Amino acid sequence: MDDLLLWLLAILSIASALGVIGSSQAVHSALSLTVNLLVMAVLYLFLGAEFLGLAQVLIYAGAVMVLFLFAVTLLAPREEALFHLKGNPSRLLGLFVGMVLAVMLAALMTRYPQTAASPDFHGSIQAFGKLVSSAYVLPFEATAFVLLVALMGAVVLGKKEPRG
Amino acid sequence: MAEQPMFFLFLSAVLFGLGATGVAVRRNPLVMFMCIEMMLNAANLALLTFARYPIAEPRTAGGPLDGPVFVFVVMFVAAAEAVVGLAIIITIFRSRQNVDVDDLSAMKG
Amino acid sequence: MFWAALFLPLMVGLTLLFYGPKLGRKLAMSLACGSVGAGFVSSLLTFLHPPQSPDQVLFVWLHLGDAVVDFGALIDPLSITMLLTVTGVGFLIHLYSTGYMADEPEYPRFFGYLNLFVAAMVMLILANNFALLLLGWAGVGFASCMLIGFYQDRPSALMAARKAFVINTFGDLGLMAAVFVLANQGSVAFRDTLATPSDEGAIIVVLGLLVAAYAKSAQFPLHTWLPDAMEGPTPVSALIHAATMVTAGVYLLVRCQPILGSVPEMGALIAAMGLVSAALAATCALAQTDLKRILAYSTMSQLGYMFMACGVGAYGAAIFHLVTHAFFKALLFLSAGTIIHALHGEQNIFKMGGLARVKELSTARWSFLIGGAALAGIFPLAGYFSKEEILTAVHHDGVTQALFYGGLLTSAITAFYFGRAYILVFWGDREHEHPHAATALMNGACWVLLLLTVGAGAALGWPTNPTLEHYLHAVPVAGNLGEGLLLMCATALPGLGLAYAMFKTRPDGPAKGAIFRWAEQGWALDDVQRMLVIRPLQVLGRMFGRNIEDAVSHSMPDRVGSTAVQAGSELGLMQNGLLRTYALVLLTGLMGAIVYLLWQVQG
Repeated sequence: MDDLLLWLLAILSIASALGVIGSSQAVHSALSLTVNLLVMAVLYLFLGAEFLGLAQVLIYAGAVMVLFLFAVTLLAPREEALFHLKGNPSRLLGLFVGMVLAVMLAALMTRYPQTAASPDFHGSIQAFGKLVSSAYVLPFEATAFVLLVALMGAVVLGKKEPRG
Repeated sequence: MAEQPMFFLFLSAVLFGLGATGVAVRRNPLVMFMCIEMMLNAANLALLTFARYPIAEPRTAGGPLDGPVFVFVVMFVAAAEAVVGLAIIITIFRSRQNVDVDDLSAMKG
Repeated sequence: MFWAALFLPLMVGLTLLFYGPKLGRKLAMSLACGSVGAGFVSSLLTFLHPPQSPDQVLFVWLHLGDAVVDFGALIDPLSITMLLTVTGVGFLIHLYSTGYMADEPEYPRFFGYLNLFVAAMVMLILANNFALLLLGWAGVGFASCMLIGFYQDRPSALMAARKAFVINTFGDLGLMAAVFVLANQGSVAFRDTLATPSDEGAIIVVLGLLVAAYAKSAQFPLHTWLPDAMEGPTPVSALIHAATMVTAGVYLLVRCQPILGSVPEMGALIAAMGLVSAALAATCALAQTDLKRILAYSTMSQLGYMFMACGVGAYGAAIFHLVTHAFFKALLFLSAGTIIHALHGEQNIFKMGGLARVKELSTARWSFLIGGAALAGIFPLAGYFSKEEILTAVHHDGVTQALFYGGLLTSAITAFYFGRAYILVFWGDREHEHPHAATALMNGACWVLLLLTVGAGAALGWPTNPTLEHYLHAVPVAGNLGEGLLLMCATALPGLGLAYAMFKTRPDGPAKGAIFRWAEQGWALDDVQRMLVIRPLQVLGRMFGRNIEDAVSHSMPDRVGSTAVQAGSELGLMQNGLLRTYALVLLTGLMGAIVYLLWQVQG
C-alpha cells in the first residue's frame, strides 16, 4: 500500500517538475510548482518529519506560492517559445548540463549505504521546539533576523521612487 | 521496497537535475525562481533522508534532528530569498516593462 | 630628571618646526633658549644628585632578534660630563643666536633644527645601548645637514649639506655594522657589551666604530665635509661643527674603550691616524683665507689630538681636551661670528684687518685672542692643560716617539696659523664703515665662554690634581707643570713668534705659489675623493641607468601593467551580463564538485 503510494507520489512530483520547466505560460509553471511542493510535503510526512511537512504546506505551498502567483499575474509575462531549440546553443547546453547533473547526482547517491530507519527520529513539533529553543537558538534567531532584513529589503525595493 | 533511502535520494537527484535544467533553460526570471525553489526542495528531501537513515549514531547537539533543523533554516531562507527576489523582479519590470533575462545585460563586463 | 634635557628640546624643536611662524619671534626664541637652558639645569641637578643606579630604563623599545633594546639612559660620569658640556655650550650658543639670527626671517626653522640637534645629541650621550645611540647619531647628522643647508638660496650651502649628509651616512653604516654584529651576539646594551666584550667579531665592531667616529669627527680620510660645512650659519658651526657633534666620535671611542681594548693592535693605528689628521688639518689651516675655514681645519686638527689620546689609551685626557676644546673653539667661532656679523658677512681675512681699532668689536677681539691662545696652548688657559696632557700621554706611551714629535710640530703650526689669522684680522689700518654692533646677549655668551676658557683648564686638570679624570675614574696622566711649560716654550711660542715675524707688516693678499694653493684646497683631497669614489660611482650609476634601469624599472612594470589591462579586457568578455550563462557556469562548477566527490567517496 505504502509502496504504491510512494511510487505514485514520485511520479507525480517528477511530472509536476516537468510541468514547471516545460509550460510556456508562467501561471502553469506556478501551479505545477504548487503541486510539486505539496507532494514534497507528503514525502516529508513519510520520512517522519511531521512538523516540516506542515511547515512546507504553510510556508511554501501557502505563502511563497501565493507570492509567486501574485507576481506572475501582476507582471503577466509573455508566453515563452520553449521548443525553438534550433539556433539556441545555450539552451541546448543548459538542457544537457541539467541532465548530466541529474545522472551524476544519482550516481553519487548510489554510494549511500542501505541503512535502516533511525528509531529515535521524531520530527514532532514538540521535539523540534525544544531543539530550536535550546541547542539551535542562535541559528533560529539568525533566521528570524534574515526574514526581518528580507522584509525591509522588499519594502525598500517596492517603494516608489520619489520624484525629483 | 520504496521504504529505503535510495528511493528518496534518487527522487531528490532527479528533481534537482530538473530544477537545474529549468534554471539554465528558461528565460522568465519568475520561472527560474520557481526552479530554484525546486532545487532547494530536492536538497531538503536529501537532507531529511540522511537524517532518517543515518549511517552512524549522530553525536551533534541536535542528535537525530540535525537534518530537520537544517531543512527548517533552508525553508525560511528560501522564503526570504523569494521575497527579495520577487521584489527585485518587480522593480526591474517597473523600469523596463519586460523581464526577459536574455535582454538584461547591465552586468556585462 | 635628566630626561628633561632630551624631551624639552625635542618638543620645542618639533613645535618650532611645525608652528614656528605662528609663535612670533620673541616667544619662539625664548622657548628655544628656555628648553635648552632647562636641559642644562636638569643636567646640573643630575650631576649634583646622580641616580642610584646608572642604568635608567624608561621602556622597552625594540626586540632585535633575541636582543631586547631598552629606551634607557646610562648616567655615569662620562655621560654627565658630556651632558653638561653639550647643554651648557648649547645654551650659550642659543643665547648668542638670538642676536646673530635677529635679522633672519626664517629664525623658527633655525631654532627648530638647533633644538632638534640638541635633543639628538643628548640622546646620543644618554643612550644606554648601541641602537639608541645610533638613533641619536643619525639624528645629529640629520640636524647638522639641515643646518648646513640653512641658507637655501645658496647652492654651495646645499651642496655642502649634501656632502656632509652622505659622508655622515657612510659613517652611520659603520655604526650599523657594529650594532648588527653586537645584536647578533645577543645584546646591544652597554651594560652587556662593554662589561664583557666578546672577541668574536670584535675586529668588525671596532672597524665599524672607527668608520663611524671618523666620519662624524671629520678625521682623515672622511674629513672633507667639515670645511664645506662652514656654509652654515656661524652659531651652527660653533655648536655642531666645533663644540659638540664632531666630538661625538671621540665620545664613542671613549665609551667603547673596553671593545677597543679587545683589539690592542688598533691603538697604534688610531693614534697614528689621529696625528695624520691633526697635522694635515693644521697645514691646511695655514693657507686658508676664509676665517671660518681656518677654524674648521683647526677643529679637525684638535679632534686629531683627541683621537691620538684615545689611541694611546689616555681616554681621560681625550675627554678633558674635548671639554676644553668645546669651550675655546665655541668662543673662537662666536667671536668670528661677531666679526662676520659686524662686517655684513665678510669672511675673507685679507679683507678684514684693522679691526683692533673698531670699538664695537672689543669683546670679539678679546674673545678671539683668548680663545686662540688657548688653542695654541698658552699657559694658563684651558687648551694648555688638556693639550699638554695629551702630549705627555703620547710621550709616556712609548710606542713610538714619532707621534710625540709630530704632535709637537703640529702644535707649533697651530700657534702659527692662529697668529697669522689674528694679525690679518685685527692689525693694520684698514677702515671699516658702519660695523654691525653685536647685541648684549652675543657679547654675554662670549664672556661666559671666555671665563670658562680661562678657568676650566686649571680647575679641571691641574697636573697634580686632575679633577676631571678623578671624576671619570680614568687613569690620570702623570703630568708635570715644569715639563709642560717647557713644551709650551718649545712649540707655541716659536709658532707665534714666527707668525709675528712673517706677518707684522700685514700683507694685502694670500701668498702666491702652487703649494699654498694646494694647501688651501685641503691638499686636493676633495679631488682625490672625486676621482676615487665619486667618478666610479657616477660611471656605474650611468651604466645602470642606461642598461639596466630602463629594462627593469621602466619596461618591465609597463609590461606588467599592459598585460593586466589586456587580460582584463579579454576576460571581461566572459562577463556577458546574461543570467543564464552565469547559471550554466555555476552548474558546470557544481558538476566538477560532484566529479570530485564521486572520485573521493567510496560506497
